[in-house]
Amino acid sequence: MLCEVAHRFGDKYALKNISLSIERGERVAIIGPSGSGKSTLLNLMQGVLEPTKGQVFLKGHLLQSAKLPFDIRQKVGKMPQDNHLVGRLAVVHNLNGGRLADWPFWKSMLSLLFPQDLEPLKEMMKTLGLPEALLFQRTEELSGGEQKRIALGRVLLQRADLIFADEPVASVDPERARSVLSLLCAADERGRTLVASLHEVDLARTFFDRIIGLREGRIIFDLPRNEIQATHFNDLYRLEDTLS
Amino acid sequence: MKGKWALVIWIGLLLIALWTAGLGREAVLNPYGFQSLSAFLARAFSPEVNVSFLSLIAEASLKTLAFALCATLLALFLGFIGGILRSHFWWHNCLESKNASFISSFFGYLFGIPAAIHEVIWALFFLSLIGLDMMVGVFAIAIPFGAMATKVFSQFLDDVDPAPTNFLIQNGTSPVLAFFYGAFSQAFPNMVSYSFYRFECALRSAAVLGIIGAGGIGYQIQISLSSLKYGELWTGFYALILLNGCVDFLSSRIRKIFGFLGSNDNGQRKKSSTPDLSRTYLALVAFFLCTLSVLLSLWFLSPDLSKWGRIFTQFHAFSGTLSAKGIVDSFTISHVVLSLDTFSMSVIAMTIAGIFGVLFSFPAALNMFSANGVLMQPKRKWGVVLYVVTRFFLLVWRAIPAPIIALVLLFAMYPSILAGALALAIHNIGILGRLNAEVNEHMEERNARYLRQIGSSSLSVYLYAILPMNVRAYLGYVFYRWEVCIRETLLLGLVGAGGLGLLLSEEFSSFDNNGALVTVAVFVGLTLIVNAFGRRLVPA
Repeated sequence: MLCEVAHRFGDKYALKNISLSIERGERVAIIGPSGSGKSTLLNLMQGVLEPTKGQVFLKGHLLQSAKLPFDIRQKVGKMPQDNHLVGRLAVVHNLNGGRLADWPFWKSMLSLLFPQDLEPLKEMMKTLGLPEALLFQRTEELSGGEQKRIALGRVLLQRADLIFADEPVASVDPERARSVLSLLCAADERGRTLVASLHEVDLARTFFDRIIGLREGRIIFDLPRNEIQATHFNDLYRLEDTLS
Repeated sequence: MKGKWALVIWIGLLLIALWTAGLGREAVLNPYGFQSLSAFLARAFSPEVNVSFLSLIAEASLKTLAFALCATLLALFLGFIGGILRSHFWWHNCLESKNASFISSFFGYLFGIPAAIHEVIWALFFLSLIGLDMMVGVFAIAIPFGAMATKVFSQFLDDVDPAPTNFLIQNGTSPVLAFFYGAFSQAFPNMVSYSFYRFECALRSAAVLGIIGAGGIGYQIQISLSSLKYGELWTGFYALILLNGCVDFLSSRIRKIFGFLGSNDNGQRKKSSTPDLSRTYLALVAFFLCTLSVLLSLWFLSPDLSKWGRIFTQFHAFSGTLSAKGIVDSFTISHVVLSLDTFSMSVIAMTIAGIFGVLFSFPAALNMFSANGVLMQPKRKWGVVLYVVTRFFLLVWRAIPAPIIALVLLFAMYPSILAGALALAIHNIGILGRLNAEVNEHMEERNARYLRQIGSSSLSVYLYAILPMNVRAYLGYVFYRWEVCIRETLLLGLVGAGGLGLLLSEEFSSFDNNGALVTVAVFVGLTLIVNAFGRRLVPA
């Protein structure tokens, strides 16, 4: 939940007086033109950024007052825009990044040398549509789209009940984008909440049940999918229309 | 600090250093020594190959290798733990501490003190406490090297992309695991690379410790030099070069196997064909071999552990010879004057080494002048020859420790700051040339190749694509070496080149413990000032 939140980078406000609340199990898409504040909003919701003004609550915890307890962190999954994978590590280790918090310390350490418990990872590779052989490939040797799916696999393995995905289908071809979002939304069927920032309006309408339109740091609309009209998008992207 | 201001300050320091060194005012060359120098150089092609001497050198080389190996592994262990504590990354990103800067700075200063004390001083200190023992050399090298490694390891950790670690911390992974998966995995290749470099340094230091009587190849070289047996001296040099060359070769091979480096001839980053899992097994094999070699080294050195059990009693007896009045009385104006001499020696040495270290780094980098290199016209093949020749000379210069180079130079030069500076410069060109060559080999080549493709000259490619990208790394190494160099000035003093080292050697020989303590304290102070100052001079 965000209460009257504003965030400033230098002199420029990226977000202005945002208030919103997301309920358990909701699938929320945040859309808007580049620079509208989507990533900033997601980062504030996750506690990665501290708001210049206002308060952010995550699972009932006021984010800026103290560090989020580790047991809460384990329930919050993230799919960052830049994946945040370790390129030098094998895929298996990056996927395990989603499971480390559940594992005993020595099992995790040992797994860095001798990867443990590979069956769920093999299953995940199948789910992601990637060959099993890639598990022991260096992550930096994979294509951008493959890396995106590894980041997705990692967040799915985390068994989080809330997932923040920052442009999860950026730089992914349209067909692959649909499969990535299908997997993320399949997670929702297990009672997870999903909050994602997107550029693609069609995908937002297909896969999400609530859409928040953001422009110049302000919420332009916040509506259920079935109430969204074409005029809303026209209004949101009018600057782009004018330019084109 | 902005680059131009750093340059202005450095030129100012150089002018002061040259004035202090008496350039143009005092005779530098000793014309009577040229005959000895030519006699020495003439034996380069006819070293002593007598079987009994060769077996002596082989045993001494093994002893030096064993010293270096044990010392390096102990230093790396200390350096790794200390490096984590010293890094801002650990406190800020892993432990999410608000006082990260303060804590990491505290550890920085804490580890700065043992690092500032040269291994020779540690060796003399341990020798005075427990007498001659093979482990004196090991501890004498491991303590300052470990402290130095904390700095470099912490920098590697502070330079990694923090995003994966932050990600893991945010999803509830424990700080230690997040560190190993997110940060250590990124810093590991640099740490391995640096570990081999440290091993080379330990080899040279082990040789230097031989000069003060700790045994090994340095001891043999010292004996040969004092008895003017130039043939034996060259055999000793070649053994040192061979040892360093082997470590150099091994280092590059291992890094290649692990996929840590390299650009191929097309300038594309090499994709490793080795799957990651087999690299893991290779790491385990390497670990096993290291452990085995340390055990073998310890067996070979056969330390007398009972002596080390008495170290605290001996230390108590040593501290009894010190008194507050004696310490205060020992501080004189000569400490200030000699500090300026020492400082000047290091500034002159680093200026020469900095310039030539960059110049030699280009032919020494495989991706620069080799066929299809970024600075080479296509289809020209002579770059490889240039590469081999340059690498060989860099190896020779860095393999022979600065005090031994100084002893050779003193054939033809009067003992002076300039002789010491020149010896330090030659040795450091060997080191900086190689380090800078690695910077060149690891650089992102796309811009340089693009300029090359559109027909730009080699000079333009250098000025617009290579220099802007690498200059910070070059300067970083120069200022890092400056810190090492100021420590080495002490050694040059021990062989008569002046500065605080000369005073210290006199105090040691007259058992003036109060005086020696003051000189060491002044020296540590000077080193810490240079460390802090050098860090500020690196352009942001």
